[in-house]
Amino acid sequence: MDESIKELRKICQESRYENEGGMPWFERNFYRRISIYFTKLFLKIGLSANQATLLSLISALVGGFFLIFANNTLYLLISALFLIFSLILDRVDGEIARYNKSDSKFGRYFDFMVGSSAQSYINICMTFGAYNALHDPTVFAFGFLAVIVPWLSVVSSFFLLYREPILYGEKVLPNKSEKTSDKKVLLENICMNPMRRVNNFLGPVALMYPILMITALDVYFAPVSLNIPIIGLFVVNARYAFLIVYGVGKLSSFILKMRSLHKKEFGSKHN
Amino acid sequence: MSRGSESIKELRKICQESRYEGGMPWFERIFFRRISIYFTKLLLKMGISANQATLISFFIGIIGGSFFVFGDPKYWVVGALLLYPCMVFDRVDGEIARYNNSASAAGEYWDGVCDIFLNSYRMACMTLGIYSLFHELPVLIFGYIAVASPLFSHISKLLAYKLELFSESFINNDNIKTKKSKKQILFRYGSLIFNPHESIVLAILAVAMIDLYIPAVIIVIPLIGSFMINARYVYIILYGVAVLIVTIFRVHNVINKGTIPNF
Repeated sequence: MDESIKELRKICQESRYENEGGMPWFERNFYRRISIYFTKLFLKIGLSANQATLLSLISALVGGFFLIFANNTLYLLISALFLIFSLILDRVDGEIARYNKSDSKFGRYFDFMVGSSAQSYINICMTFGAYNALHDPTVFAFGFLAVIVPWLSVVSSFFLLYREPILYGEKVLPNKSEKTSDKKVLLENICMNPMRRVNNFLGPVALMYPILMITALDVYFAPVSLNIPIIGLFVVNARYAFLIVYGVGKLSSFILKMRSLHKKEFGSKHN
Repeated sequence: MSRGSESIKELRKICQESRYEGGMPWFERIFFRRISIYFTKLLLKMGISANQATLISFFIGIIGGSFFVFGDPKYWVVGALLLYPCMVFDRVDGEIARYNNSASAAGEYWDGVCDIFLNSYRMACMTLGIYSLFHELPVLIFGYIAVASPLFSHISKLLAYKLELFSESFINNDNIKTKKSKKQILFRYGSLIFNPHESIVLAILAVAMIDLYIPAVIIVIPLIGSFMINARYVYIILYGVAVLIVTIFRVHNVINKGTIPNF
């Protein structure tokens, strides 16, 4: 463990993005630039990759807890610190695994489970924060939607690709290399790509940033009351609006994704 | 011969017995398959396809689940009773597919996704219903656990499949013939109480009936405080925590032993 930071970057970071044509801008500037120092520290202490994953979980749990309070700048800053730290630690575990050459399926399994559960935990904490600010239980109806749909989206895509082949006793992996010049597929790609970009922004990778920004909005702006005919009076703040947009947007993108997956996997015939 | 003109006995042979080679579990036979075959015959005569039966089951489930939003246990009884046809139609679609020889991966897939969604939807509605009674935040915390932990459990299983973290005995799962261990039997009975796909109708019905006649109890826990508790609240707590513990146990097993346990 005597490498300089530059050498460590080569070992731990650049090998990860070789096949993907370089590191994305956001990734490089916001995570990898800092994460390497933590990697060096952890390697010196002798922490393993799984222990780094566990630390990332704990940091996310602490950071999420501080989102529960209604409108408080100090608590928001504390939670931002912990949440960004957990995102950085999420990169550190991969780097440690690459350095130690201890990259294993179990490590990936653990990493994914921790990542996905931390995301919905933070979502739930923000819902409680919105409730504490508004005292309106309808927040939770949208809060439940915002928790169920992203998980269901992950479950159903795994379900589609991996469950059936094993149930039937033989393993058939989906063929990704298949190229079609069909006009319909092209059109679908054009329609779906912006959706995917929005999805990536709101999805499991960087959900924490919009949540933190929107909680910050709530600190400075008072809630707005909307009078919707027939339904009644609603008091909406930024977090509530985010939950509604996120839940409904995720639901519609989930349905679109399922449709295109259905067409791709099963063809367009119906029985 | 027109569709569905076979007698009930013949239909049972075609649609049901081919599904269970090692014999039908008693719970399944008594509560669902005994009745579902009549609906299968009816729908076959009407010319409804398997996917349409799935859709019927989904809509009944959505309507039945919505009844749980209300705090009054009478609505819960109605919701639980509506849940029953939803589950019967869930069996009917498979039977129609087996009759028509139209069983497909797509049909099974949509069936599974609808099941998972309906389960979470029910739990969310139940939580809101209990919250409207007590107006206590712990209800929502346990509700979130009950909503999220079944999904968490599915992901922990399916991700392990994806990464191929399973033993040989898991793929060639022939535990019907082999003798079950004590642990497996325990989990079998545990899943009868907590498994959403088999006994949730009975569990919800029982819990709602208890609440119809017995009022909520105040429990005082030293240091923490006092809570209002009724049977439905206890059910939500037990369900969520039990599924969560099983899931954590599974993840622990996968990471330390490298295989998915058989539950």
